[in-house]
Amino acid sequence: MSLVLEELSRRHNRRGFCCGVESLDYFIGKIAMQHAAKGISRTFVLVSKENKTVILGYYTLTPCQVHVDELDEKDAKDKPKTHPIPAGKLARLAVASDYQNQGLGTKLLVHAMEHFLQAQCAIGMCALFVDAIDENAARYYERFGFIRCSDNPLQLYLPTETIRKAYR
Amino acid sequence: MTGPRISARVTPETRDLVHTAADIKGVSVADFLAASAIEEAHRVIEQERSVSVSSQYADSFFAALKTPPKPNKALRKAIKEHRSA
Repeated sequence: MSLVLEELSRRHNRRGFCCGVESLDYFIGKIAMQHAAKGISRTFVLVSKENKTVILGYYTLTPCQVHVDELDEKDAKDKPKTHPIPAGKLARLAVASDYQNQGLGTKLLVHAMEHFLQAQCAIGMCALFVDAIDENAARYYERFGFIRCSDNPLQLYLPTETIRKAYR
Repeated sequence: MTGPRISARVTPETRDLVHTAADIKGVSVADFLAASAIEEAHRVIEQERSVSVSSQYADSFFAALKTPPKPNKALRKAIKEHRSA
């Protein structure tokens, strides 16, 4: 099977996508096209060359802002107040149920990081964050070096420079 | 207020729950629903567009940006196998 990555369009069978997580199926089925039209987020889908309507997997990248919580009032006084820092976020990544555990998720992640680097060149972003859907997914990202950084254990990041070096 | 209408079907239990809450707040059910929906909508949008680094991770986060960790083997291998160009 020869795979291609394409930007989501009306040609793709968005309602037919099923990955086992309701919120991810709902997003691609009903929301992703609207978001793309409004410029809120962009979604890329993995399809086979033989049948380009069936979505095998997808990801959504969005810009985001990093808010760093101050340690405490006393500490915060000595330090300059940190403004929100621009970053990228892999808000969603999903593989269709019939195609899981075949490396498609990793392929999507690699493409997402490439797109992130391209965007980063133009506007500057300090890191790529991910919202993992569950603990298993969080561990998956950790295998590639993603770091936990929040009371929310499902939020991880990888510094931009680490990603850039990996592509060299 | 005039404007477009949003409606939703709910169970009788949900209707009673919403009425009770609106009564407590002393507002109409319509105002209560609109205010709650707006609040939740802002929260969802905010969550999509922002991430937070908790205070106990702040130092390690800034350190990682200043001195980024080297990409690990798994990441290099994945890129070698899957990159498009």
